[in-house]
Parts: sequence; C-alpha cells; structure tokens
Amino acid sequence: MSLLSLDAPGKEVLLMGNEAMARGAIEAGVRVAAAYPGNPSSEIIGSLAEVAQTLDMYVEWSVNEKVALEVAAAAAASGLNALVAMKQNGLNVAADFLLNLNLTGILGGLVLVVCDDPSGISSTNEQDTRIYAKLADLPLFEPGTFHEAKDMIKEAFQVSRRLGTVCMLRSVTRISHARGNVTLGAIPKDKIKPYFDPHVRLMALPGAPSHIVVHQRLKQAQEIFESSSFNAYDGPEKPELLVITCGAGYLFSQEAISILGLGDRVGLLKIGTTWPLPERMILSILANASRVLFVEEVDPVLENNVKALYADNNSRLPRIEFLGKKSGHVPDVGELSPGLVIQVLSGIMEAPWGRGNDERSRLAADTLQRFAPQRSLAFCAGCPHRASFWAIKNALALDGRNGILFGDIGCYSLAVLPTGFSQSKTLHAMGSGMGMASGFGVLDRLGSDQPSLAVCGDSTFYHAVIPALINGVHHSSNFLLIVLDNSATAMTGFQPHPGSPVNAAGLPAKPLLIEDICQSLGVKTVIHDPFDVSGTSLILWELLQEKGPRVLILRQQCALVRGKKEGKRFTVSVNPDRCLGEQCGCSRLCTRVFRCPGLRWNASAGKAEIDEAICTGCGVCADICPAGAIQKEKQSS
Amino acid sequence: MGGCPYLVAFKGKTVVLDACAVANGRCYASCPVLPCDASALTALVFGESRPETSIGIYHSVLASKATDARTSSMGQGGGTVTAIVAHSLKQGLVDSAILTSASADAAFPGGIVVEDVEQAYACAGSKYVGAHSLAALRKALDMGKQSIAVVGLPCQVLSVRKMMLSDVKQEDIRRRIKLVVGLFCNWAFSAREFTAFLAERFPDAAIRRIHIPPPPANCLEVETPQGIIAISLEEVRRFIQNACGQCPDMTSELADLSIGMYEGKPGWNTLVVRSDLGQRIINEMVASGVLETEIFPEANLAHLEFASRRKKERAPQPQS
Repeated sequence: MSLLSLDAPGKEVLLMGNEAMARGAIEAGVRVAAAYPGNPSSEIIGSLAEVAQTLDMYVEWSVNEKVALEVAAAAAASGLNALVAMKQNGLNVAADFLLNLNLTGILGGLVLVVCDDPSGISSTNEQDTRIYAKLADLPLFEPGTFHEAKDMIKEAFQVSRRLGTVCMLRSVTRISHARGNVTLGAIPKDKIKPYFDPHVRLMALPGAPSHIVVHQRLKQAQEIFESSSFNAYDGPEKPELLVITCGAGYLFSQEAISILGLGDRVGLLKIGTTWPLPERMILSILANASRVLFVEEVDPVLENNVKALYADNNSRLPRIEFLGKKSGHVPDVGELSPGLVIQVLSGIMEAPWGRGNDERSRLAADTLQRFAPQRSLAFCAGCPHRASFWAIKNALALDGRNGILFGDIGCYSLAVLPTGFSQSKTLHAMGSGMGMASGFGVLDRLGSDQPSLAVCGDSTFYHAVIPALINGVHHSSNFLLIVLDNSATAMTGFQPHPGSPVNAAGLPAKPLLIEDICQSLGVKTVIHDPFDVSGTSLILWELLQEKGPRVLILRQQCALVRGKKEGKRFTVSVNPDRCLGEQCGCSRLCTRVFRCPGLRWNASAGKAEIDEAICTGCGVCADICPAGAIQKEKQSS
Repeated sequence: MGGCPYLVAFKGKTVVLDACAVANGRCYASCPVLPCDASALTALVFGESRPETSIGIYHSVLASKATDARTSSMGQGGGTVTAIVAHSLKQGLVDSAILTSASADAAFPGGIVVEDVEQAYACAGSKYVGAHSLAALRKALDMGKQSIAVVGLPCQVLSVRKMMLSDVKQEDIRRRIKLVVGLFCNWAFSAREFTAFLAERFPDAAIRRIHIPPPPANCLEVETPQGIIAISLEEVRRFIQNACGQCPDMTSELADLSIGMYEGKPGWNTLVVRSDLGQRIINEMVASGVLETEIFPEANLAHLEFASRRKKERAPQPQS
C-alpha cells in the first residue's frame, strides 16, 4: 500500500517533499487534482494519481497548466477541495486565468502549488513565482520542512475555504525533491458531492469592486497569519544578528547557525506565510534587532517586503542594518546551500569555520578538475532525438540556405548544445518554437530566403504548439514543423498526454493522434522513423524544398521506454580491423561528432569501441560510420 | 571527396556536413584553390623544365577534329576529347576513364567510370556546370583500375595532379593515373541553381542539349523539341560558381592534352599538346587516321593567349 493512502494517524514516515504535499492534500480531503508535468513539481500529481482510485479522487494530467487550473477551479466552484500543481514556467501559462480567478474567488477550496527551480536545474529559466501572489493578492505559504509542507497544504485549504480565495504554496527544488520525516494525520471519510450552485456567477465584472473584495480577503488572511504556527522565532532575546528566512533557506540557516556555534548570538525568524506578511509578529521581533540578514531563494521578495514594513514603522523601531541580496551579502541568483549560508554567516559574524582551509579547498578543486570527466549535458545513449538532429543537421547543410530551426521545451531542448549538434537556434517557452517559425515563415514576403523550421515534442505539441500551428496555417506561412514523437513526456517522468491511450490513473483514454490533428488542418504530414537517418535527411530535404505549412513526425520510442519494453534491438560492435582510428580520415566521426554515450574512444588502441553497459542497441552509429567498422546484429527476441 | 563523411556531393553542390579535425587530410592535399608546389607539379607532368607561356607548357597548339563522323557530331566542336578517350580505351592505353555523365543523377551531371567506348560516347558533349566528376576516381581506384584516364576542367586537372603528387593513401596513384585530358574553361555554372533556372524557364520542354557558341555570340543556346532558344549570357552569369573567380587556369595547363572550342571554325577544336605522352597519343591517332589536325593560326593563338592571360589577371594572386 502506498504511504499516501495509509490511514495511520500519528505514524512517522519518510516522504519526499512533493509526496508530503500530496499527503497534505489527501488529509485536507482533496477530491480533484490536476497538473501539467514539470520538474520539480511532477511527483505531487504523480503520487496522487497512484491512489486516485483507492481514495475516490479524480486526478488528471491536463494538456497544459492553464487548463489544469481551470479543471481544478471547476471542482472548487462545485464546492470541492481541488489541488493544482505546476513548475514556475507553468504559472506563466496559467497566469491569465489566475489573474481573473483571484477576483471572482471560489466556493470550495483551491490550492495552487508552484514549485520553483532555483538555478534552473531542470528548467530553461530561473524565476521567483512569489511575485504572482503579490500581483494576484493571494495568500502565500512557503514550507521550510517536509512535515510542514504537508501541514501547510492542509492549512492552505482551510484558509482557501474560509476566505473563498485561491491559496498559493511555493516550494523549491530542495523542499520538493528532498526527503524527510513526516507524521501522518487522519484521512477524512466524508465525501462532498460536487454541486455548482446555478445562482452563483463567478465573474470579475465590474473589476474594481471585485478588487476591493480581494483586498479585504487579504486583510483577513493577514489576521490569520499573525498567529500562524508556521511563523516562529528561535534565538536570544536580543540577537546580534537576526536571520529572516523562508523556504529551503530555513534549514540551511538552522544548520549554519548550529555548525558555526552561533546559537546564542544569532536569532532565526522563519516566515512560513510570506504574503501577506504577519506584520505585528515581525515588528515585535524587529524591535529587538540591530542587524538583519535575509536568507531566501531567489529574488529579495521577503527582504523587500520586510524592509517596506520597517519603513512604514521605523519611528517605533531601532535603527537596523539590513543585509541580504541588495547589500551583496547573499547571491541574488541561483540556489542557496548550507555551505553558502555558512560562508555568509561566518563572514558577517567573523566566526571561524573549520572547513575554511583555503589550501585544502584549492587542492580538492584541482583534484576534481583533473579526474572529473569532461562532459556536457547530453541525450541518453540510443535517444532518438540524437538521430533526429543528426538528420536535421545534414538536411539543413544539404539545403544550404541557412535554414533556422526554432527550438522548444523538452529533452530536445538540448539541441542548442553539441549533443544536438547545436541545431536549435532559439529556446524560450513551450510552443514558442512553432510560434516563431510561423513568424519567420512569412518573412519571405519581405525578402528572406532562409527556410523556417520548428521542433517540438509530442507532449509539447498538445500543450502549446497547436495554436501556433493554426496561426501558421491560417497565415499561409512557409514552415516545416518537426514533431519528435517519442511517445512520452520523457523529461518529466513519462506521464501520459492526450496522445496516450491511458490517463493519469492508468485507465483507458481516447488518444488524439498528432497526424490526425495536423491533417485536419490541411497540413501535409509525413511520418518517419528517425533511426533511418539517411532516409530522414532526404525526406527533410525534400520537405524543405516545398512551400506552405508542412509537418514531419519523427516517431521512435524514448530509449528508456524502449529499453524497458524491448531490450536491445541490435547487438552493436566495432570491428577493430575495419576501424582505422586516426588513420581513417573520418576524424573520429562517431566519438567526436555523433557522440553517443554508448560509444567511447579507446586512446591506447586508437580505435572506437562500444560501451556495452550503456549502449541501448539502436544501431544508428553503424549507419554513421563511413568505414563500416561499426556493425549491428539483430537481437534474437 | 569519395568516402569522406564531412564533404559530400549532393544535388550539384559540395556540402560540408560537419567540421573535420584532420589538419592535412586528402581534401587539403588535393584542393585546387590551396597553394601548392608549382615546380613539383611541373616536374611531375613534364619532367625537365620547359619554357612556360601564358597558356602553360606545351609542344604544339593545333586545330583538330575526329575523323569519324559519329564522334565529331556527338562531341563538342570536333569531338576531339571523345576521340582521345575512345582511342586510349581501344588501344589498351587505359583500362578506364573518369568522365562526366549527364545522367549520373536524375538532374545533375556527375562522375562516372567508363570501361568501353560506347560508355564514353554516352558522356560526350559539354555540360557547362561544375560536377563531382572526381568522386568517380575514388570509385575507379577502389575497383582496382590500374591505368586510368581522367577528363576534367582545369580545377579538376590540378586536383588530380596534386593527388598524384601527395598520394596520401599510398595507392600508387602516380602510376595508375595514366592520362589526364583537360578542358578549356573560363567558368562553370553552379549545377543546382542553373538546373533550377532551366526547369523554371522550360517547365514543359525536354532539353536536348545546351551549347555556348564562341564569341561574339554572347548567348546560351538551349536545344528543345521546339527548336533552339537563345538566352543572353548576361542573364545566366549569376549562376557562375563563386570558386571560378579564384581560378587562374583557362586551358588546363597541367593536362597531357588540353582541348577547347575553335573560335570561328565550327566543327573543330583547339588542341594543346603538352606532355610527351600527349604528343605520342596524338601522333598515334593522326597516324591511325582517327584524328585530323591542322595548323592553328598565329592570330588565333595570340587571341587564346590573351584570353588565358585575362583569366590569370582576374584571379587573386597566389599568396606564395
């Protein structure tokens, strides 16, 4: 049985932060949950989907984040508790609806979880979504521990129902993806029947009076937060330094103070409800402070809000020196870490740090540099995207008109890097590749002669490409859309999408085929296997010679899915007699240019070889080798 | 280029697919644009040093035509090139010849290895476009051919001579390439653009032959079932390959025999006999009655030298 559906109040279990949030939603009696997958948020809905049938919930992977929020809002409008989760970029997609939903309010409970990705570890951007809470006048929670993540979701649902507003909960990678102890609460047994009262109208018109109501709700939220247990101070009555923190910064700061032995000199104020601020509570702590350090990821949101609060009340407060991102003491980009907070605190408090041995640090860094292999981000061994971009590279070179490939979001975003032969020239938001290709494809009317190409994945196609495709078709733009259909939302964990025959709960669902959609728009649509690299190059070249909207679907299963289902298709080997190495004249095409991780260069032998542990047996490298030295033999099934 | 994964021939273009890291590979060694040891090349072809003129080193310049009516009618001018290739194959001087076939690709001329006279006849006639003819040389070498004739444009002749000099793969190329026949060339069209132009201009017509008559015609003649249609050269100059502007050689100065049109004498060629081997072949052909020669008038030679000098002056001067 999944820990998420375990009905054992008081039991302490180890949960990932995202699982803890899912469990919090279950303990709050959530009935509907929706999301579009995106790291670091994906496990919230993923784990709820696993227990959806057991707990009589409806859980879906929606086509995009805006629709996910709309699905959840419909449930909330029907009196239910609904959860929606997304990554930071997703909130941009959902923002249009959110900035109206805030004004209309809701009837049930609706919690919007946004998982930010400081440093953009699995994102194209770094973005602090807390600004949205302020923009939309929504109560905002920020968990600092895993147990708190669970309990905050419950509290957020209570505030949401009580005030009739969406509540936001902002997590970050080190809360969402780390694990910690969580004490389980009870799972409610009562099930509300969804009912949308036809006398109710959820509309923001007229806007200004609605806005007044929203501000009143925010005032009420502030009152609730003044006594919230999520906001707490720990430390001396009059600390030399007051650290004000939230989110992952809380545990980092706690650890830093402990390691540096500063417990009797430094106070720690953790704010769990970061908007609206619990003003009276904070002012009471500031009354005993002379220096304040803010520790938060990513932007100085808490820092600016507390400073504004101080400015409003400075006549009643002592003179305080504020340190943080603005003063340059804390980096204003990227993730924080315990080590980084230790460094900051050690410097400010002039507290020696045992590990601060510069010579040892330098030696360690040198050693790492010497022995760590030189690697950049790369497609997996046997990834069909590598074959696709090889074919695209060749087709564009054969065409010779400097065609531009507009990139998009997914594993194939890596095509801006050498692993995708640096073929994608742009990388922005989901669907933006097709949108830009639509625009570039009309510039021939102004004298451009460069072909316009876009690339997208299957899941991205449904998410945001379809409107851009329709735009291009309607305006007779000249473009070639290449859909890399690997039959999975591979980058976020193989969640189903509208092209899948199953839904989030694993139940049968109607698959909507990409080719059917394209053909229904009257677009010439060709389907091909990218593992036939030379054939794919020629098809691409031929499509590039045509005008108007064209779609090429390069369909081949993700190497990870294929490996699980089918094992190796080919046994691949290098014939050492035929591989001439540096004498070949191929200039190590396989390991220098194609660079599948399943191939390696044996410097002592002066020949290429297959890494059996990594090779997935796609056989594409055998077609790349000009000397026929790489050989593939069909695996007997 | 044959076999290289970085430089490929595609639809009339040479395409760089990826950046190669070999500093001095075969392409470098045989590239006609890159600097080379001119004296070594001269020694390779002509042995002892001989006086050089504005059309290179030669024994004699003649007017020539194939005596066989079929050959002279199929080829350009007097069919001299086709006659030389046919003679060399028939006499066993060579076991194969690298020619440019109009039908190597559905739309674009390309190199072909011919092994008999009929195959050679099928390649007769000027193409006026750059073609990847020498890719067939790689094929002939891989086929194990031991005495190969190559017919090419000045750039291709230079490339072949550089290959013979470097023999990067040590394939005994110097011995195996027996005869090099060069063509006169001022420039050639880019096959891809020129073919696209013709397809657009003559969408429904089957083009039988293309001909550029000597000056002062200043036109391109396209022979279609509906008759010959003349297009001003000014209209098609934009399709001339950029690399042709780099080339100083109009008469294939490193060939054994160089052949071009004879301005003012339709049905005849200008023949430059350069090497001793070339001289021997021409002597044999005249003696056996397959080739007819005449004296090339001084005024025509002066004009040929003038045109050759002009091309040299147009090209960038060598770096070293």
